[in-house]
Amino acid sequence: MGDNKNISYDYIRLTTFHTGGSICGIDINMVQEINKNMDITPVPATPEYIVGVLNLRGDIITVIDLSKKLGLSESTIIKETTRNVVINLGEEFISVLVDQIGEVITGNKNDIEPAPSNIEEINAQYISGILKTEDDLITILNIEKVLTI
Amino acid sequence: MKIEDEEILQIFIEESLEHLSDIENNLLLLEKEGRSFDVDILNQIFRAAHSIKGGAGFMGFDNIKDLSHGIENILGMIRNYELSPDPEIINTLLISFDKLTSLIKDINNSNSTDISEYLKNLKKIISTQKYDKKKIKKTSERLEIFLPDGRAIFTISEDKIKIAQKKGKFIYLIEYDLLNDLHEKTLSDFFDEIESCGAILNSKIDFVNINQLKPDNLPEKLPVFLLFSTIIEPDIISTLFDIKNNFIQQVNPKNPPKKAEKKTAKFDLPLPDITEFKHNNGKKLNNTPTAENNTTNTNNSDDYSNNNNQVFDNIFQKQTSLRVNVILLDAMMNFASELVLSRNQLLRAVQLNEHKTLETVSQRINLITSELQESVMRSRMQPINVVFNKFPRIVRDLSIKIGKDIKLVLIGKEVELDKTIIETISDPLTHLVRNSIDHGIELPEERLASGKDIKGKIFIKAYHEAGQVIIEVSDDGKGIDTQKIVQRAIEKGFITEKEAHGLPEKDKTDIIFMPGFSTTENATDISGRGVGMDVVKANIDKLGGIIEVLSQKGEGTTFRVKLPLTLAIIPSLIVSCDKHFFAIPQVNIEELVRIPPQQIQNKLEYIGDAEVLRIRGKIIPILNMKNILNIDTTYFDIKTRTFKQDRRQNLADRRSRKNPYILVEDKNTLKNVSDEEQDRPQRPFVEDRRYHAGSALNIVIVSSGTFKYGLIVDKLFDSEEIVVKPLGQHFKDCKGYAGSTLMGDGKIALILDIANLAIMANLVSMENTLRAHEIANDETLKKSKGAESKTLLVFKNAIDEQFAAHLDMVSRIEKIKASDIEYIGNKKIIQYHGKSIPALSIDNIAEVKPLTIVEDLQIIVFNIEGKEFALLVTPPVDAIETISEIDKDTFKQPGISGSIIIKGQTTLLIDILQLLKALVHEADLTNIKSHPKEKERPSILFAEDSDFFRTQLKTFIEKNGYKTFEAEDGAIAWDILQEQGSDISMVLTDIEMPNLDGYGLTKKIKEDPRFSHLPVLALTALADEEDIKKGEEAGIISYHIKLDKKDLIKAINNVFENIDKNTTQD
Repeated sequence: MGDNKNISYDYIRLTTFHTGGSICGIDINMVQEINKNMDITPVPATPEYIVGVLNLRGDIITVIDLSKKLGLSESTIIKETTRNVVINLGEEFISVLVDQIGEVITGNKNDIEPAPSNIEEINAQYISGILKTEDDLITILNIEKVLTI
Repeated sequence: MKIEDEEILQIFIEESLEHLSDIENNLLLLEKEGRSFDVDILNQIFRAAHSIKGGAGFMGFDNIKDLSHGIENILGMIRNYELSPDPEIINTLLISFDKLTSLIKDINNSNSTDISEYLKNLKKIISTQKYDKKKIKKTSERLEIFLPDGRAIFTISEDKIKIAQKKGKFIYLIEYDLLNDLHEKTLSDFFDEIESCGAILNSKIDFVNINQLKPDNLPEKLPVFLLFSTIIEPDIISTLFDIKNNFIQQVNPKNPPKKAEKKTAKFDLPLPDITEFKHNNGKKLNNTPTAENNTTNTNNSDDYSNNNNQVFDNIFQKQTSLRVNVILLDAMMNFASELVLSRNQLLRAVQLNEHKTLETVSQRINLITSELQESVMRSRMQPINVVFNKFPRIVRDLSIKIGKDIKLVLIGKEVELDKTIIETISDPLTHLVRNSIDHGIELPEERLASGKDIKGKIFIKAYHEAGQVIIEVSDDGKGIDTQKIVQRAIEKGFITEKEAHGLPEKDKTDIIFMPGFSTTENATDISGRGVGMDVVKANIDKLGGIIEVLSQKGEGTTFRVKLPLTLAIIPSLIVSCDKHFFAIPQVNIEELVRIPPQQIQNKLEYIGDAEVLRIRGKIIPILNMKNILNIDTTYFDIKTRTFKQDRRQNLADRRSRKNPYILVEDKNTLKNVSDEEQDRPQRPFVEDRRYHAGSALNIVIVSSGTFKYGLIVDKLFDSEEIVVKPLGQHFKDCKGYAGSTLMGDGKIALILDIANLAIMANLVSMENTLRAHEIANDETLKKSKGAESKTLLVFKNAIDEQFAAHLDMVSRIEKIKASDIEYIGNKKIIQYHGKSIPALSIDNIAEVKPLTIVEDLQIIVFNIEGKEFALLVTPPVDAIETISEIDKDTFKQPGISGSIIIKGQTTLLIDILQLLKALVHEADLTNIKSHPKEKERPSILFAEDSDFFRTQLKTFIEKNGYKTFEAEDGAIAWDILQEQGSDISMVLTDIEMPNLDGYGLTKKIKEDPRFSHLPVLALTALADEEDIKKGEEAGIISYHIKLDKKDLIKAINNVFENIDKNTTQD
């Protein structure tokens, strides 16, 4: 228990994934589950970034095309590796569609740098920081901001 | 704050609000009953204030504590009869409790709220009352109890008697002879005995009858008078005392109390009649237990004076948490355990693959599920009383404020509705009640003047009917003045005067539901700010309910609200559009219309560019779901095995594809349907659907509030009971959806919001207005030059050239086979009903593409002057109404009078008379040409703005032997008249014309001595009484329908014959 507390103090655990060519991470505490249920029902006359709705064990949840919402690329094409990352927003679950899921990374909070000001692709307010690992730069998303209107 | 604290706080808030929920009505009861209030009710209020005070003190909410303490003090004084619950005090208490409620609801800020004003008011009451204390004691009502001989024996406070009576006790004055009536008992035994059955309020020995009290000279009797209060009823009281009836007298204040007046209760012998007693007091004072029982039962039909529903109120009052009847909970538990058992059976059956067991288990689960569903639903039900509770206060406050005397009657408080509905219905109902108080009930003097009871009545009634709950708010006020409403609507520009004229009474009252409508001259703060009934209606619509208004001028108004029992599960129709599934709530569905492909042309019409469906005489706008929701219509191309965009734009295109001659593309569309069908093999009759009805139009006629329209969908499925699931926040701008649901196969269907869909499609609300606007539009368009509404028959000659002819000339349309045409020389003849009719096709005269000869042709039979001839055309033949303008130049040629755009396609308008002439020439039919009226050819001035009619009629009139002068409008006609006045012997005029209309022209003619003798005949497309009257006043002799030529010629001939007669007579 005590160790955990320490980790939550100094470290952050991120679920990472690929979307629209970037590697992004979300605080693992926000993630409810990851699944590959691609039986998404499209809903006509909705904003472009909404893929549709999904039956998640009796609850109907919104599926959002993350790369489109972030403005990274054209719509996500559903492939073998495409996954739903179900985010727990408290009042509702929202699934974000990502190209591929990566590993869970534990990062030291001190290693997180603020988003560089010249970042253009993603709206700066969606980014809570950049984590540098040995191989990659991981964009940490403020997923609550991304998903609230 | 620690979690436990938060829990305690939550409990405190819930409990306090629960306590407060009943207080309002209880206080009103106190006020109503005045000094003779029910102590139990007071105690309830007292306890509420007290426990809130305690809790708040414990939790450290000082403001709440202080306020409730102040309230408690006053209540305590009322309880001790130191204060009388008069309206002023009750008012202060009500306001204080309101404040208390708001403090508790916003508990975290309660300590920083300023409540000094409230405390001051409360203290003021106490201080003034203390000052008046003595006075109050003095003026408190005393009853003197008289003996039969007139002597006053006891003086007792009337309240004491009343309080005793309230508790169901009787008060007797008993004359007890201590010497003779005691028998073997000791005096203390006697007192023990009677005190076990009641209470002695007062006693006195009658000293008057005892002159001396000496041991040796005992008096005959030693009467002691007892004022005794007991629950023992009058007919058995004598047995208790073992004395004769006439020594027991019931004390009964006959008259209701009046303030500061000495009261006397006559001590009459013998016992007062029981029935009389009930009559006097049965209702108000509830003296007898039986009477009390009665009130309990009839409580719901009585006014709010009784409080027997408290139990109910207490059980159901919560917003966030809900108390459920334990019996119901037990039942639910039972069902749940049965469900568990069934699950075990199911698992076993599946494991062992036992088909037989599987069937039974599935049936069982089906049964349990529906029972479980029902009981869970019932646990959500709350009595409507929760809403009704607040009306007594509203009615009281408002009626005092605006000086009206209003009695509120609540009926059916126990009717239950789903929690969500209860919460949402509160505001609309309140508005209706306020509306009744403000607009419905008249001021007392008005009521008196119209011979009504001064006291206005408002009834609020809830009851079940046909699986719905009906709530009626009715008043016996002045009713809705439709005249005023219509006038207002015209002023505001909602409707025109013309439209108002034809509106049925019911629709007039419905105008009040139109957005932005309010009839009050001055907006009051009670109701009517222009945001009124439309909001009520919108709210009720949102609940899937219906609101109706019934009103009788002078008699009152009733608003009837129909609500579904629940919103969580709604019966809906599943439809599909492309690959999307939608659920339309059954409550919105009026009917389903299916139009077979061959009838689409006839059934669907256009007004402007809007598609409408004419159904049983009513015009209903048609919306295509695909257009509203921007659904890309795709079809599956089997060659490339991909989905392709369907290029059809609207139904007109769809229609052309129905044309049997364009089968090529249609096949693709059909394939598309069939392919989808194959994806859903569980649907039966795939074959039939594909080939026979796949291209039929499925229209769901839906209505929601003021909207009524037809929604075109691809397919209709079953009606299902669907469970409503909310959509996420990202859909909040997608107004077309009310939610979503899961279907039996786990697929998601979206629930349509019918009202919002209409708004998305920019549909004009209210069908009547739509209809009215449509008529008005036609009228205005008619007035504009050259754009008269015409009914045209549209057909084809060559397959890609569209023609039109005026329907008025057509006698009938027939189907023939190409083989029916006979050729005699170069003439075509068609045998028809034993007659030979000359036939021709347009290309015989005009230079157009030749007639496409197919097996099935149609002929349009024209009847000119009794002669029939047939025009050979290629089907389909369609009648349409259009206001498009005729282009008379571009395509003008022999046989073609011009062109017109119909549904986006250039259509050539054929000149029937020219065609006929050609035919006549060919067939050498001479008959038509001349009439033997050559010698005297009177001239007719003919004013008509429509070129079409002018040409047609000119030719026609001339054929009948008259000369004509044509004029395009009234002004030109007047000019012609000036120039050629002497030559003209009659004026024939259209009414609606630019520059100078028919009336104006006639007036000018009649006012000018040179022309006043000229007979004026009017031509018109439509004439109603009013127009005819107006025309007569102007001097028009008679009206004629434009195309009834025989009638016209007859009239012209008549006029001239008369002139002839007159001149010969002269």
